[in-house]
Amino acid sequence: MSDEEEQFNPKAHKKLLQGISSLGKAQHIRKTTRNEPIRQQDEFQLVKPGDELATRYPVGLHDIVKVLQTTKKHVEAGKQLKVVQSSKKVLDKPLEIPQANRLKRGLGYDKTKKNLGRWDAVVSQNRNAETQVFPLRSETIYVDTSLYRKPLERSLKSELAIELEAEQARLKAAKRELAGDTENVEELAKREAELLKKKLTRDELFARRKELAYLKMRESQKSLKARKQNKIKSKKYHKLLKKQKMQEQIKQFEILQKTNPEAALEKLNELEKNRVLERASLRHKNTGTWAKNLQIRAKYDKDVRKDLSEQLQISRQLTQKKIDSDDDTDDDNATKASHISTEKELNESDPFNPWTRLESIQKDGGTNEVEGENWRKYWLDRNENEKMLDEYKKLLVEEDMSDDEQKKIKETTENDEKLLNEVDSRKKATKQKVKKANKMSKKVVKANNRTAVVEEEIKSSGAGEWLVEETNICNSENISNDTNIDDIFDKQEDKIKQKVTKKMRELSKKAKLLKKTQLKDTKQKKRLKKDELKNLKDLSFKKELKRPIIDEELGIEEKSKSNVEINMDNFKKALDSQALQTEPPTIEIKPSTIIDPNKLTDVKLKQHINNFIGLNESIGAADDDVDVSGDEDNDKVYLDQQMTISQAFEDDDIIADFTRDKAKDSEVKDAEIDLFMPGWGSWAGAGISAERQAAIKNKRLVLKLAKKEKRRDDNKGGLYINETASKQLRSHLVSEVPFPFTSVADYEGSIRATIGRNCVPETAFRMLTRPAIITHKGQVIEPMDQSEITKPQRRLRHVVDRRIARMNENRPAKIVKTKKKY
Amino acid sequence: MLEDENLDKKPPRRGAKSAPSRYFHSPVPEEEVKPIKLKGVSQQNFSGEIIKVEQDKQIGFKKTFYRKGAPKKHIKTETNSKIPKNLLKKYDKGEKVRSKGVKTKFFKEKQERKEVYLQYATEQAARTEILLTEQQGFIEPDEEEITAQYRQVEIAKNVDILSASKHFKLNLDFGPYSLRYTKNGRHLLLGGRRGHVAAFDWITKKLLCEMNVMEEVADVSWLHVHTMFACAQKDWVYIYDSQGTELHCVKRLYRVNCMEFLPYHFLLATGNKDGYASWLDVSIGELVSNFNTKLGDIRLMHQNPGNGVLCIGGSKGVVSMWSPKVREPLAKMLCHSTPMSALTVDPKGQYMVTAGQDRKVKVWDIRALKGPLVSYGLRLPANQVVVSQRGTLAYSQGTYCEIQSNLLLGEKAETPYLRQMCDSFVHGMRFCPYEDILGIATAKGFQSLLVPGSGEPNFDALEDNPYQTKSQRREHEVHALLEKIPPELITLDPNEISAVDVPTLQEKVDAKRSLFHLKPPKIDFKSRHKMKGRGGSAKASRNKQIVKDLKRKEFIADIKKSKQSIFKQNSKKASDFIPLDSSVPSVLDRFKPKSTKKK
Repeated sequence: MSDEEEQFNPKAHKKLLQGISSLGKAQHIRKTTRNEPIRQQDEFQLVKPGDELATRYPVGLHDIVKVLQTTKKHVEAGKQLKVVQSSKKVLDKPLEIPQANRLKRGLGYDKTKKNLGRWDAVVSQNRNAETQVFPLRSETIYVDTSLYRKPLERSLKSELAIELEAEQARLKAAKRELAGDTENVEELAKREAELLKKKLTRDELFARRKELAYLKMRESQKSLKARKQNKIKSKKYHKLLKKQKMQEQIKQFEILQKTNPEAALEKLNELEKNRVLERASLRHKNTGTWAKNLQIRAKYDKDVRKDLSEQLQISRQLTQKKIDSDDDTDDDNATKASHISTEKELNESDPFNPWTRLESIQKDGGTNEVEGENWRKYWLDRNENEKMLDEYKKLLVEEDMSDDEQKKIKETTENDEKLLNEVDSRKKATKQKVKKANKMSKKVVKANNRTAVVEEEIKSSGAGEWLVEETNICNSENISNDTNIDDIFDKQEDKIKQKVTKKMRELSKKAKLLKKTQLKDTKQKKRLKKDELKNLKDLSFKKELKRPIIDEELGIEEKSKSNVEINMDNFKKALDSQALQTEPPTIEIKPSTIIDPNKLTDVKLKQHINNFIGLNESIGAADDDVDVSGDEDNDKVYLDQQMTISQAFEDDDIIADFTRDKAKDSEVKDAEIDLFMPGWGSWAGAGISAERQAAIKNKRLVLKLAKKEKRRDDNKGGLYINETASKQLRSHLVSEVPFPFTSVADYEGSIRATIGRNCVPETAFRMLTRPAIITHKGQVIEPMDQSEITKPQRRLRHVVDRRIARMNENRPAKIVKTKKKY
Repeated sequence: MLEDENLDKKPPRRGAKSAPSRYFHSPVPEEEVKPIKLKGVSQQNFSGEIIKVEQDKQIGFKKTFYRKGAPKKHIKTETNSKIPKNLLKKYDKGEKVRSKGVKTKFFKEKQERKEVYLQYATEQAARTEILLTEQQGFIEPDEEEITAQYRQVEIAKNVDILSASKHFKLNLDFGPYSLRYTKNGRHLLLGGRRGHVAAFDWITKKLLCEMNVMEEVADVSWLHVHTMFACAQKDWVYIYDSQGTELHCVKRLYRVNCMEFLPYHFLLATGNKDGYASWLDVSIGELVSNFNTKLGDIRLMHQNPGNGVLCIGGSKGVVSMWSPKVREPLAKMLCHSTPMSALTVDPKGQYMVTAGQDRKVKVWDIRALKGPLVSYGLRLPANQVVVSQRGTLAYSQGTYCEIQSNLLLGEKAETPYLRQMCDSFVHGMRFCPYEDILGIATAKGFQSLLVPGSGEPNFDALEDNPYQTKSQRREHEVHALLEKIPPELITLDPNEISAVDVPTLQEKVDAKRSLFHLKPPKIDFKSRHKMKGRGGSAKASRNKQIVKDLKRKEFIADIKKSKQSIFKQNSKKASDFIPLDSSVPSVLDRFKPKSTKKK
């Protein structure tokens, strides 16, 4: 064996091992290096791809370098190549054609969009313009060209003409000199033309180059972006991307909803389908927020654990491959049996194992029971509620009873409070006790019992319930995880502390902000004070609908009075100026008393008294009027007659009649429907009145068809207004609020003013009925061109136009034509 | 060449004729030398040509820069003419439309522009006030005198001759008279109870016609022009022209008591002894409406010139307002607790003045249907009440007339503005439009009184022109006919046409009630014609039945649904119902047992 050991050559052995290991991998058929284009694929050329790099770049630059370095002649070149390889970047492979095209299109779209966007202002202005005049106005400028004018070219020129021309040219030159033009005309023109050309072309060239460069830059940027975007692997990024896309889609959907409901429905379906597919893919079986929350709670909650395991179970079931049962019936029979036994064991040991859960659930079949429980629970709850209500009612009654009892109740409440305190302390105690393990369990139970008693006593107070729950949880938790409870409490405390600190910080921040804003406010207030004062002055009631034609306010008296007064004043002044004599004695005028119907006779006397003595005389003296004094007796007789007539007619029933009629007319007919069976409740017999029956009738079975509305004449005793307009008038009215208006009041406001010639002054009428487009006869209307963008606005002549322009200026500049130069 | 010659010409020397031979001969003081102002380049005698620059070439226009805060020029021009606020308020067209109430941006802007136009219209209207140059008349009493003591003679003495000539008296023998002025106040129509009818230009006293219709005349009324008038005679209403020729006899207007002509509607409104109110369209000769008001004998009737509604006063102290197309009164106002004796509405349609047997004259706001604004206590009940254009109130008690210069202020006055004793019982009073004249028709004749300040001094010649020529009258007639307002537009609110038709409460109730009595509509199903062998008559009838059933079921379901909604609105929760879980969420809810999950 030693010989053999000596013979052992590690190198050879290694080689051998390598050879053995590479036995399977070895590729005996090499890939052809050179080939002719042939139709048929030679099977020997189908080679397994080996190293990726090698396959992609079968001949690398380093190979050439290697070759080059072998000959002395080319060593330099090889070095250079190496340097090039390390320093210069290899150009990226161009993007695929559709992608590149897409990019190009996108760029082109952006550009044209920008170009067209320059017209936005013009378009919107023209759309909104009140009047437009076509053809569009061109700028006219006045140029004095007489100095530069050449004489007409003639075929024949006499000497005289030539002489004259020369003279004229000389004169012109002289004149030009006088005017300050010293340069030669032609030269000037030429130079200008050249300059213009040059400048233009140069500028244009620059612009074009710039633009091209920009475009290229953009394209390269975009392609880079596209390439990079495809490579991103970050899950978060994709998540965000997806979210963004979703949001976009939702946005689109919302827009569609408004514009095209059918398309929106389709979109909705699509979205829903996508969502369903996503959900069905079972990617989210335990990664959703719901599942995560459950996982956290699963530690402490039995039900939750059940739910989770179920969920997992379902996912397993759905993802399991279906195995044909025929294949492994015999083989697995034995194993099955063993399985069942183990399962049972497992069930006993761990009921929450997701793999074993399903079976047990199937076994349970306890859904019916659960339902029954639900019912029972419902009724128990209901009964409890009723009990509570009764108690509450009793309490109410007791309150009414007497003060002593109130005191008692106070005492009981105090007791309640005490009990509550006790419970709190006990809770603390339980915290401590639970640490100490099983011994204390009995005590805890006792405490629970006590708390249950307490709970019964203070059912009405809301605090009782949660206390009970807390203890119950303690009870149900098999005390095995008692340390956990402590942890929970600690955690909760920590959390609360954190929250409190957070809130404090926020509050302090807010306070700072508030201070700042207050300072600002004070400043602003100072500024605004003037305006507020103005507003105060204008604090008047809103104007109501006005009549366009006759909209005078009541109380012409003031106006006419003032008019008269002015006249009087003028007159008086004139009189005063005529004779500055003693002032007239002031006449004491007694204020007229309120007319009392009982003192009507006095009033009559007063009227007589008021007749001046002089006046009576003058009446008597008047020649064209009949004497009054002779008629006085007649008057008296007449008065008496009238009195008796009026007394005869006067009766209070006039008012009563009116109110009765009003009530009758303004009553809404058939406002209720009786839903009783016909005849039901309308009994007959002695001692039964119809009114009482109506009162007794259950109100629930009388259907009121509409609520009572306020009438115009509701609180006006002496007035009845018929609120049903005539049918003929209604046929003239608009019954629906037309499109741009949202409410009746707004629409009515929009047609509140008449614009006819009879109602407004002629100037206003013409403005109101101005045509939207004014064209000139016989003139060609050319389409708009580029210059329209930079043109300044027309100078507006009319006040209304100017006001509208100013109104637009005050608004955001979107609509207003911008004077930017592009 | 011509232009070139022009160039060569030298400008003419200034003041060549009086030029001194040497400049130092007559030295001119410096102050007298006027600085010569050269005109701008564009204004100098221009001898070039005008070039119209093409559109696409840019012109270097000079841009004027404004500083941001600097006031602009055009603002100055607007503030030049300030209009007083009260005038603007007078012509205001009402509240602007809220920009919130208009939907799209485009329409919002349009509406705002419209508001600018309307604002301009109101301003222009307010500016026209300058054109109302004429002033109202008045009486200036001497010291220790009051206006009430002046007699008509005295007034006539103190006014100009033309006005003095307007004060006159006619002694007529044919019983109590009724009178009417035309709308422009130029012509007067008198109708005596005993058949005497006379129409004349009362200013020039030129008689148009005079006749005796040989029947009792209850009332007279001008139609839209002074060439036609209506006369309510014993049985029927007759229409005469200005020559006195009988044009029509309207027999459907029977035993008419009083008449009113609505000039903008071309309606002759009448009230008769049986309580029938009728409206006759005089432009087409058709009776627009005729129904019983159930008020009994209509004696007091006056139109409201503001809206064309007919106000009828009754023996129950109630004024009811009527429109031809509505058979119930539009409104009823309890004005007096006694029978009424007189009723009138002021020419602008703002006030209504009523008088009752309770010896009171009350002024009401007829637009808001409110009042009384003012109540006069008289010693006798007023028989006649009239209001002038300027708000002068006149009332008569038997033979005695009193005039208050202002119907609202009159109550406070110790004495009336003017008073007048007539020779006999006053049967009719009217103020003459656009004149300071009160016409009084009595049992013995007619009187024209001067009441300074009663008439409107400024007239709108396109509306009412007292100095109308024949052609103007004709044109006006045509215009009026073209602008005739249809009778159904007579409503309490004349602007109701610009309102939206909103269903009334009664309609809502009726619509809901009708749901309970609806029957499924009959369906006329016509099956498509099918070729022979494709569908037999049995199949067709079955299909028909199926369709009918479907439709019926659909209808029933619809009705049921709407009924349910009504029930739902009406239903209230029973008092004995205890909700299982309180709807008000509590902080402690989180400790409640979690709801069992659905399995």
